[in-house]
Amino acid sequence: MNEKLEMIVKQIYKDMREGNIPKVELKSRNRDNIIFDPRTSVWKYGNSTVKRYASKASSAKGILKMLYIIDFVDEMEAGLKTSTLREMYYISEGWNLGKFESQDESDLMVEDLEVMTNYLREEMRLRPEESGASVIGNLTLTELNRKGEKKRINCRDDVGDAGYTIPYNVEKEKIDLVSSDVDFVLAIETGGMFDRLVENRFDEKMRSLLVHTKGQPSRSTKRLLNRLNKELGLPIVVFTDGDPWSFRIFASIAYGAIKTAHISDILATPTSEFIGITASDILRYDLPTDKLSDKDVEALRSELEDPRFNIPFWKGEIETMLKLGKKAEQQALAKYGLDFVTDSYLPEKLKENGII
Amino acid sequence: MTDFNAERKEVSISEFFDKNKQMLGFDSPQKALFMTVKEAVDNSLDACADKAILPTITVKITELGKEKYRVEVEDNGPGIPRTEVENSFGKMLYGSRFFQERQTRGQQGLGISAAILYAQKTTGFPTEIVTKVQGELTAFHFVLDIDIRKNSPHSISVTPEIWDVEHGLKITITLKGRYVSGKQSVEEYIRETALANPHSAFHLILPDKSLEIERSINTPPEIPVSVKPHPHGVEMGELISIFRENEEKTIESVLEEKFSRVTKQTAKLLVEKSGLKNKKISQMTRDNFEDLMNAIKETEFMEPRKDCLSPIGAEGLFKSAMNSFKDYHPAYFSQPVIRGPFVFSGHPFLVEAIAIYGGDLPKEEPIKVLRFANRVPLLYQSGSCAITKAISSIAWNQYGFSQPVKDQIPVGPLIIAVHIASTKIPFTSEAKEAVATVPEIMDSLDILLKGVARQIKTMKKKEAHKNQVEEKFSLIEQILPQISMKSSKILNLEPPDIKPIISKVMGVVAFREMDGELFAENFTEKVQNFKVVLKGEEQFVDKVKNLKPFQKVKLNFSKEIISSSEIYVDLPEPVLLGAYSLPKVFDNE
Repeated sequence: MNEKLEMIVKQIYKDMREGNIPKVELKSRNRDNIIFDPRTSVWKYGNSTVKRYASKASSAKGILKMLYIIDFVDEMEAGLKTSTLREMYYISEGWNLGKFESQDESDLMVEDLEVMTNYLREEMRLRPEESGASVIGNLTLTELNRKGEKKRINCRDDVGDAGYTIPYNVEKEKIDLVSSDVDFVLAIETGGMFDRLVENRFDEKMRSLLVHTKGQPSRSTKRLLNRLNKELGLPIVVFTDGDPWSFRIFASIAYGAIKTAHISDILATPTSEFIGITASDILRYDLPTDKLSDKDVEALRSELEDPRFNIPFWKGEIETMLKLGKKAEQQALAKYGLDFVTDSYLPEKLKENGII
Repeated sequence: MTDFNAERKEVSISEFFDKNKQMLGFDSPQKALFMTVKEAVDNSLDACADKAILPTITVKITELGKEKYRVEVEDNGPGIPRTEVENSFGKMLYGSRFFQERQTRGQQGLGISAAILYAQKTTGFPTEIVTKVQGELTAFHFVLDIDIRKNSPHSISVTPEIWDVEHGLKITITLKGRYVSGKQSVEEYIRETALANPHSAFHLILPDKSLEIERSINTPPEIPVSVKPHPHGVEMGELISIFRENEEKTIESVLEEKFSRVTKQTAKLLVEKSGLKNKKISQMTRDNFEDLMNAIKETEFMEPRKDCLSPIGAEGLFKSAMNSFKDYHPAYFSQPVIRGPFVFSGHPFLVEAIAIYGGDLPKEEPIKVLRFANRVPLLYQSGSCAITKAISSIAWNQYGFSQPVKDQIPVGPLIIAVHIASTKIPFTSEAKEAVATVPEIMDSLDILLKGVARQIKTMKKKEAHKNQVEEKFSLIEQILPQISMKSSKILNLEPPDIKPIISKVMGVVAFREMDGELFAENFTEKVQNFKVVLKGEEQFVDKVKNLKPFQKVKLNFSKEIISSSEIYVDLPEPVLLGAYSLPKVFDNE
């Protein structure tokens, strides 16, 4: 049995044996206890902890539910199974008083367990619903498939035009990064742009690895980017739409997100570079735009307060966008033809940023 | 009558009907179907009430075609003698003005004859009536329509028929209508009618469903007494008619004999005041009547008799509310509150109400208000009704209900049923769908509703206690034992004893209701002595001595008292669960 999970159960049992009200202790997930660590440039948990005592029905039920999850993980381990978070939520129907009221509740409790044990949910054999994003480029890796065989895959030569699909678990026991022959990784927000770059063979022409983030990237996509950076020393370049929400996609790739503050170390890649679309690009390339909505403006204003954007580059870009009152999509570059993005825009921007 | 006149009359009655469709309630196919059922059912209930019969009424609606329906209403009432059938059902504008004040539901003016005429106009079908009176061997089957020219009923055929009941009446009307379910539907009308008439039973056969509503009580209401009109309650036209019908008498004697609360002396005084001494009634002009009316207004009389009203009554309201709303599994029924009789403008009235709270009633929607006037449900014009306004004007937050908009209906899982009974309900219009905001009625409704709301407040507090108690007991009886089982199973160890943990998480004397009985259980580490006071309308006391840790005792109160009282105990708040700490004031009592 997983050691740290077992420790949680032992603590509960010991409390009861000694005639005390059983409890669990975990890092406070209060917003106040999530701090931006300037040393590593990622979101992290502070030091305050909370104890949940089984003296109230609601927190006692929480403890019971946690015991059920631990037992369930243990069972899956014995049977070499995995389950989606949603499947576990449905399985909890049979857990008497340990039944979850909603999937949000069960997802949150899995995060609690991650925070308490420093295990990833993937290591607890629990995975998210959505499929991972795609990768195309000259990267060779091995994946442990369901037959238990290590399958060697080159992400340019062994895959179709849709690319290699990132599995939910990209930890070492599942994926081994063997070698690459590229100069950088380009993480792309939209599918339309990803397909454009694939069709234009940008991966070959510019010696790059293309990763489609499918909007806000999933944990496994961020984890893969983190490993590509750490293990293969590849710079990560982020290419998104030019609006406040896309800026947040970059921030979450580079500095992590509040929800996953307990695993920022392995998910965030603080050296990532944002290449565009910037507010300055809108002016410089005279791009077709849309008006900022009230929500956009609100989001930009709150980004001005966000420590992740507290550098002159971002301050300048956000303020410019507010002044313009405009936003632009990646595909607005097509104004100058289908090849403009691969022949002119990206090479120019990459050079300016010192990537090539 | 010349042909010319007959034609004129036809035009005028047809026109009258068309122009007054709205007033008569036949302004849309949906409402026409509703009104037809309503008129027939109201007639049945009135007929039964006159003879103190427990009504059993069957309503059947059959769809014959597009917007064409057959309505059949059958009752076990006294039936109508063969010779009176035509007049009772057929005559438009045929009113019986006996100048008696009496609480009746049949105030819809043209009533059933309007329904018959509407059916005839829209489908061409005559109305069929089967009636049997006590003692006759057969029933009689009438096929009847209205001769519009003569404003009189016309029997197409009368045939004897075997009907195996002692007495009763069955009416079949085929009309253009539209059947709807839900709000303002026939079903809603019948359900609410059953609520206001707990002594009646209904069988309902509708196009989309059938249902049975059982009788909630087995005693018919007392037959309302007729009383002479009170001088303050009489209107000009009525006054004139009463005098015209008694022209052979003197003004003084008409005043004394035909009105209530008028003594010989007062009658004399009135005649003097209005300058009508020695005047003959046949000589009285409109001005004379106006003088008399003014004199009446300026004179004080004894209040009208009040014993002529027929409330639904506490027992009836409670039992029919239980019966009507059982499907919602309400947490609580208030005790019915009845206020009055009071008087407005010479008419006695009383108000009564019951509230139903919690269970499966919707929590996020405006509360449901059921309005009744003389046992007839009011389904339309809710916004302009005195009952709705009286409810809206209460500050509901004081009673634990939110009122998103001030002076609007509050939100919460609550039904309030309010009945106004009077010899004359002051409706806002001829359609008789809403009660006017007469100050005397508004005042009495305000006090009435606050009485009901207070009970709900007490109940909500009780419910909060109950939830606390249930939660704590589920913790010690279920959750903690399961934590113990589960953790020991995972670790493959013996389950630990949780008794010491129970006294730690509880540390209280808990008061818990189980099957209506009240139990006290000591979860503290000390022996406890205490006094329990149950406070509702009255106050009841029980004492407990020497209750040892983990010991449980049943308290000596009846289930009825427990369900309607708050629990107070002379222990400090921190060691109490499911009860209030007894304030010092109570202690001295």
